[in-house]
Amino acid sequence: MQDISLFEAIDSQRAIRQFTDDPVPQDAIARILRAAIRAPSPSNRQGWHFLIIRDPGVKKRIGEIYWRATQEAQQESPSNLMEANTARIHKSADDLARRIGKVPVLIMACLEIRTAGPSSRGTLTLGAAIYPAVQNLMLAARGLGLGTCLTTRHRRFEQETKKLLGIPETMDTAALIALGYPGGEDHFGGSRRVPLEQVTSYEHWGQSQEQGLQV
Amino acid sequence: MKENPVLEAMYTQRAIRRFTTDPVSDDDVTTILKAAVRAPSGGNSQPWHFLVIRNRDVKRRIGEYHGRAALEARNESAKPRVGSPSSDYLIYNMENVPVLIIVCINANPAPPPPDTPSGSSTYPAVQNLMLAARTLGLGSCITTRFRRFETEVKELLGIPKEVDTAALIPIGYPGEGEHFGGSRRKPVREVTFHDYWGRKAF
Repeated sequence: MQDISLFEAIDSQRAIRQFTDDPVPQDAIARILRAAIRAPSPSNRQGWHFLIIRDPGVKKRIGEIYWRATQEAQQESPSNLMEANTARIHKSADDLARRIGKVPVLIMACLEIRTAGPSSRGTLTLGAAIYPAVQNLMLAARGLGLGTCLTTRHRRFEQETKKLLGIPETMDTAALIALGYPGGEDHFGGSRRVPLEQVTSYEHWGQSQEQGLQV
Repeated sequence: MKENPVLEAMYTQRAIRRFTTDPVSDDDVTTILKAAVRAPSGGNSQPWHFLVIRNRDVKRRIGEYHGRAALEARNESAKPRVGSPSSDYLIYNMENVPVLIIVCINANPAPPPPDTPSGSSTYPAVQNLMLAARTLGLGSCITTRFRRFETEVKELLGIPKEVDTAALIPIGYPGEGEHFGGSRRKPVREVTFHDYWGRKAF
């Protein structure tokens, strides 16, 4: 396989939910984890932990939890009431729910929960300690020709999941990542994004680049 | 064997807090932002917004909030803490950083209260942004200190109430004493288990 650049990896990352049965080499897993732990970590605390799951029985049980979580989520917003876009995303989640018990590798990215100090309050920024590493993991996988997708849906049954995997109370399950070689109709490629101008401001909220330059 | 270029960018990323005064081109900023928005987001919600700041006065005021917050945090720390030279530099020199990017997230309708996954649709984009910068030879770091004064910062920048700030990212060419790579990390085998918690993977 030809090496791709970082920008090619970033541009062609896409949620992959269908995988071939080809096993993922242990060496590839080690390399993508080495990339994951290079991500920024607040105060270099490195409160992350990665649980690699290949045991078919364990994957099957995670698949069952995920399936239940998906059913529950979809009952809350029935597809006949949804816009086409939401319906499509539900279908993707459905596809993943059917297959997740059989993907070659599942990785549960966990984050140590701090119990003291003002930063332990529930805030958005908790994720700053784990999702950069998760993104490194997924981009590194892409760099090696491996597909991934990220889900947090199992968290509807967080306690059950933690019990199944023996994850201590002091850890939060931040992301469940499916990993394998893209299969079926899935392939790398650009995903749809709103134009950049809609999500950027310059110097002040709502100012375009041209307006910002005049400041 | 030469390492895969994708992994190489990650292996050599490091928090850069001191920058040269060399300007960062508009093209580079656009390239970095284009990379950011390729990141995954839950249900392709793309809840992010990027505020690019170069105006010296605005940077100075953000620097004041960042500095106050950083010094407060040091004082609250149980053991006395002395800031690293690079952390100190950022506290006193925010206005000299070529570009600041504040990453925002449309908080509506985030389920209250925020918890770990609340950031799952923002921080992957932040990481793309920083890796893209690294690949262009630009250093960056991520800080959330200013959020102690989030209300003030939002007012300063006109950020709407329903929008949250997730990170401040200073960007520029690495300055004296700074270099890419070599951040200290525990080895992978210490932070990985296989199939069940406690079972060694490597």
